[in-house]
Amino acid sequence: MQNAILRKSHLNDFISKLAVIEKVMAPVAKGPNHYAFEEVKSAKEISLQYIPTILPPKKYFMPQHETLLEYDTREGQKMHAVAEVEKMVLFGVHTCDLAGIQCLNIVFSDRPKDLNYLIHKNKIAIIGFECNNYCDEHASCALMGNHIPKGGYDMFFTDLGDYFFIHVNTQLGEELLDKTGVYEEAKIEHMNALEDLRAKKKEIFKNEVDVDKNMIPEYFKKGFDSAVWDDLGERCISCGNCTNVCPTCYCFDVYDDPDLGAKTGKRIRVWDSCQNEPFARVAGGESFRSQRKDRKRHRFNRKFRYPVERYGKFFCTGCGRCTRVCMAKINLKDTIKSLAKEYK
Amino acid sequence: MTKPKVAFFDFACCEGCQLQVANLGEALLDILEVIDVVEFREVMSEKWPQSFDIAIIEGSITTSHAVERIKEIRARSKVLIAYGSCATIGGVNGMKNNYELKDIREYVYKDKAEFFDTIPTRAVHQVVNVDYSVNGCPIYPPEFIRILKAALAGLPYHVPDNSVCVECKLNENICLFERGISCAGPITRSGCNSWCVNNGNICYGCRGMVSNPNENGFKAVLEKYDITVDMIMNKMNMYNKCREIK
Amino acid sequence: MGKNIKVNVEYLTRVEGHGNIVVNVNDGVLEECKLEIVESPRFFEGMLRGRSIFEAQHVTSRICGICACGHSLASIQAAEDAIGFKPSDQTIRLRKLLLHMENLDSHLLHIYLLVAPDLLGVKSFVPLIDSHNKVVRRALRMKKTCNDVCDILAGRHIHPISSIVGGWTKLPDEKALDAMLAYLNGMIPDMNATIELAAGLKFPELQRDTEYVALVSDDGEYPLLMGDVGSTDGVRMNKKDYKKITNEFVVPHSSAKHTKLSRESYAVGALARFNVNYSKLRKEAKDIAAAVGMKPKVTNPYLNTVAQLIECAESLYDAIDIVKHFKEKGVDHSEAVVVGLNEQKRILVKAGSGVGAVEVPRGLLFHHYEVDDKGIIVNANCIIPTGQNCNNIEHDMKKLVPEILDKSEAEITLALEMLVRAYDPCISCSAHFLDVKFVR
Repeated sequence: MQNAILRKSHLNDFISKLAVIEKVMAPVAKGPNHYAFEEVKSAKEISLQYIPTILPPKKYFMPQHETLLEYDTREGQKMHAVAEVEKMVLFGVHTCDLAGIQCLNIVFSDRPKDLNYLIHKNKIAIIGFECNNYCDEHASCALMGNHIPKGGYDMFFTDLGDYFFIHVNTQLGEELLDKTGVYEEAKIEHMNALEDLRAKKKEIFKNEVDVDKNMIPEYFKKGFDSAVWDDLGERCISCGNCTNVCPTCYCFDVYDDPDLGAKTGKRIRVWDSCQNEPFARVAGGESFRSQRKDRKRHRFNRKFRYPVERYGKFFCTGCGRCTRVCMAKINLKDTIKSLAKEYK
Repeated sequence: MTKPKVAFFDFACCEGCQLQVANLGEALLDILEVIDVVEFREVMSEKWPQSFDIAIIEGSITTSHAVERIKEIRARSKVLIAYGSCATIGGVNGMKNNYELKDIREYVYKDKAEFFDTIPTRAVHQVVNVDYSVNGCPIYPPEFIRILKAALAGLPYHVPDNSVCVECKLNENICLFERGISCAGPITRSGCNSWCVNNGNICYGCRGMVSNPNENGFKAVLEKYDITVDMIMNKMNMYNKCREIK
Repeated sequence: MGKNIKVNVEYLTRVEGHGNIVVNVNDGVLEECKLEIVESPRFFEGMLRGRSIFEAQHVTSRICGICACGHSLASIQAAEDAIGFKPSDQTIRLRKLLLHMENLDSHLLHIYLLVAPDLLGVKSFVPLIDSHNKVVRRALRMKKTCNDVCDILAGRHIHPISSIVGGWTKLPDEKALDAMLAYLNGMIPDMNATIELAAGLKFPELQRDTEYVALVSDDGEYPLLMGDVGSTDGVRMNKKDYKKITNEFVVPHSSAKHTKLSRESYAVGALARFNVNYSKLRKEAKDIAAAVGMKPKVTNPYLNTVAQLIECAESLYDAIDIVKHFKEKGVDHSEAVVVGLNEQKRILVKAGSGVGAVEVPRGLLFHHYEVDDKGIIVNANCIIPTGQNCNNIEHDMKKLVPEILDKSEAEITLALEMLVRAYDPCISCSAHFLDVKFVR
């Protein structure tokens, strides 16, 4: 089956049945205007009207701390790879975050393949959720084309009043939906309602920066020495918030954690950030980005220019998290606008 | 192979960091299997007048007698680990440097002031060479154990040089600035896993400042959140006053 | 010809902080008997001036590692008293729980690691790792459990995080309450083993009647967090008159600041609390007291350690009751406070003077602050239990030495060391206010 509907009054039934089959992670309110993905057992714990969570779902695909391998040097050099995985279903993932996961999929499938990431991905089912309206003024999803679904999910829910429209995309999605047994057939009037919503969204979601997306890489290339970066460099305090909350940032550090006696131990991967001072330092002490302006420029280029050149894809999803969370109130949309103005 | 001889010493401190070691539970016994603790005044009566492999120091240097003592200990030890904010950055003892020595001695001890020898508070590395620093008030046990392992293996340990915000975000806390209160996290070194913010309180900066804080940028941040700069600078003085001693 | 004895213990071991014992007997006559405090002074009261009252809790907890919660709570009590803030019932209950965990942790450390070695004839717990491995493991395990509970409740024991002026920044949820209860209940078998062990230990003898001072209250509780100040000589005063209780004075032959109340000296601590509040102990604690033959008025200072053992039971079982109360009634999470330096003025502040009086493991602790209308500290004063005990310790030593003059110098030295250790002194706390006597 490709489409189905779920009455809102049955949502709790759906979630609780799903929670028995698999662990369900959904957005939960953490405080005024703050949300995070956490395990839930019932629908009332979920906040479906949510602005992007503090951390994106990438925390499930690439955990903040992850053991990669264990080693034992007591008799020779023994190492064995470790993958600490658990099966789960992510419920309520916005289209911007779906796009983020798709970016990470590309990166980690590139050579050398990152098996830890891929094994996690294999065990995670995704149920997306449509935004009928902007979350707030910081989003730039229309610019990136991520305000409508473009795949990357097993099921996709759209809120159409007193029911959800479900688009079933994969066999896994179909199996899960079947197991819950809580759904109804989608009829023509439901499909029409969905089309109406999509038409309405075309009027709501418009390019937030008034810049042609396809010209952005060019502006970034030309603007390599722009004063825009100097300004950002002055304001940035290198708190690292932007990279941590970004759905497509994936830089990491690897370190060894020996046991007492230093004969056995683990190798651990942890999130890192190009915004950290020591990140671009190499052996010998030389740093390629010791200035904050260099680091800020690097980050933006990693979203708007380098991946376009390499993969043909923008790595900004338009979720707005970096702007929301920046302590120095550096604004992504303003930055693009300023750069475009200089080089249009 | 003989186990390395390790001795614990303390100066002007609250002894909380030593207690953190005692609070490791049965893991302490695992540690005691790989090291030989030859002196630890708080829990042992044994004393060790010769040299040892590792000296672990808690507390700041605040009297001339202490200066002599730490130099003597340094001469007898191959490796010196300073642990706790008092030892690594002066800690709260540094606040004394906000005042004229004469004034503060008289305030506390009145006419007996001259019995109390005191000099401006200094961190241990401001008096002798330190090989490893375990920052924090109190120390964060996982970090202490990592450094101990590094010291035993003869490997270097670098105290993280990025802000507490990094770990705080990883723990998915709500930023306290968003709640209208100021936090020293953005300019304080990480490594404590944002211990205090995880528990709802602000970061007080006990691990010392990052090496290259953007002080102007930070002041602008405060203004944007409508928090007076004086308040924060005063707060940074709580642990970081000894930075001013060159 | 009478005996000549010189005892000079430098940097007494197995006590918190730096102290020396100096005893001089000439021709059978006790000439000098002192407990010298040589801890480097850190000038906390001076440093608090000019800082926000909302920071006092954070700074004063750094006076002492093991009484960090006690200092924190006394500081909060004094601060809330000064600015006129009344904490909620839930907040008070949770503070009592924190204090119980500190009491338990500190007493266990003292009994197992500081005192037991003397009674088992060794210099520290390290040799006991081989000979009494199970006992050492039990001690470390029990201490760790106290810490684990504090980790859940306040973030950590040493320098608690979530307990501040105004309440708690983080409150335990259902899972946290279950975890704490599991830890506490899990301690009961180890507690029973501890009592069995302690019941078999033989403590030295010394009888010296003195005044015992502790918190007293009119409710049904064995008061540790709140109350008036009372004594075995019938004194009862409000904590704001703490200066009339401590009566600090300088003794002509020594420059140590001593305290006294109705007699030449007084004692605070577990034994004092036992003597003053015995009737308010829980049944579990009273049963243990009976089993070890302790009934007020106990005047052997060495038995402070046994009083601590009884308090371990009191604190453990009362802590369990507090957690059970919250499991039943629930925790009101809307009470979680976000205060910082009170930038948002969420807590009303007025100029004033406030006193906090809290029973920390070693005895009665006073914090006194005067704040201006912006909540900035103008004056601060702290009186530490160990400081209050110094005078009493010296009087005890003066009584003890003539009674054991026939023993060897080594035995006399050990008896004196054990006497000081019995009080569980917290010298780095007291250092900031006691004078140092340099004996050349």
